[in-house]
Amino acid sequence: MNLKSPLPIRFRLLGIVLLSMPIAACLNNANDCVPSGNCTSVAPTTANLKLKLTINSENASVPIAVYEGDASDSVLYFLDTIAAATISYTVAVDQRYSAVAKYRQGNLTILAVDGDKTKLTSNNDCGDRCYEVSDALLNLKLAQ
Amino acid sequence: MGILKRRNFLWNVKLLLLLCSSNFIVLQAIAQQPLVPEIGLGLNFNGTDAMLNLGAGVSFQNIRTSAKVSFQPRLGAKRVFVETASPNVLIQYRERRYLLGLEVDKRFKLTEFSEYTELGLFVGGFIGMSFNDYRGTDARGSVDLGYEGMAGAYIGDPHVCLLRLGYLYLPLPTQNVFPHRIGFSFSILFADES
Repeated sequence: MNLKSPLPIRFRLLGIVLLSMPIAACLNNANDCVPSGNCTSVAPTTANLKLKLTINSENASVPIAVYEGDASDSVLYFLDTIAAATISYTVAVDQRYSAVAKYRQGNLTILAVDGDKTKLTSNNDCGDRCYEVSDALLNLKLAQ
Repeated sequence: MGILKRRNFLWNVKLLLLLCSSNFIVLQAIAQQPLVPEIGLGLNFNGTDAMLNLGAGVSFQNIRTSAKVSFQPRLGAKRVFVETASPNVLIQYRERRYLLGLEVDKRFKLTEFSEYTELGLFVGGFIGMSFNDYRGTDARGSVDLGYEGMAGAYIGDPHVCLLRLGYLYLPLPTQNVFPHRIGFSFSILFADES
């Protein structure tokens, strides 16, 4: 009787490796776990919305419009005029934002558009749930 | 008139059978090749752009040819200008771009370092679709024909893994992106050794 497995050895090894990872994660008990020092156990409700802008002689201050969701179809969140190359706002977490900056270049008007999302992720740190926030970064600089 | 129609019909049937049989011969020839599953991860780049290449397919070992379905997303986003109805207003978007299609390459062995490792040259190409979208807006991008040509050198065991390094020509409809790139990829082949 042929007892040889129909699967080649490489597939079997790959299967063993893939299966062993979740098993190892399950067997990981709290006794040999070293907790990280900076665990945020309460879910944050805010994140930063960072904007990068081009400030030059033609555009000493840049009017911006920030939207919740996509700029084309969504709710206007606020308007502002910025005279700095970077600025940061505190906004709600787990939300998509977009912004439009209005520049002058000769007789042209350039509308720079970008969008990003603030994200909330969590991980298991020795039995404790730790939260981490990812800021949204909108690059509204003018292309060279 | 009726006889002519009948002759035409028979001729068409014969032609169809011939085409089917020739296709069958080609398919049979391909089926007789030792096929080895292959997955690949690569990167192509120049000073203006970089794209990741994720591929999965098969390697026809006898003819040293790989055929993979390839998905290539751009790393990051490129700033592009789009004209509007007003001649004095431009919109600057941050464009994400993707390529999806079939990638084929043919390898030519130059030398063997050992029983398992060989060095050679390859030529290949990609054909499929190139599509884009823009960050922060649902403004529609476009779907275009995407193609690329590549040539270079490879090293590795054609039953286990291959490392390819070469030149890549990839024209994209994105402004200020040069088509000439350096490309490298790493493929894992799952040859049955039993």
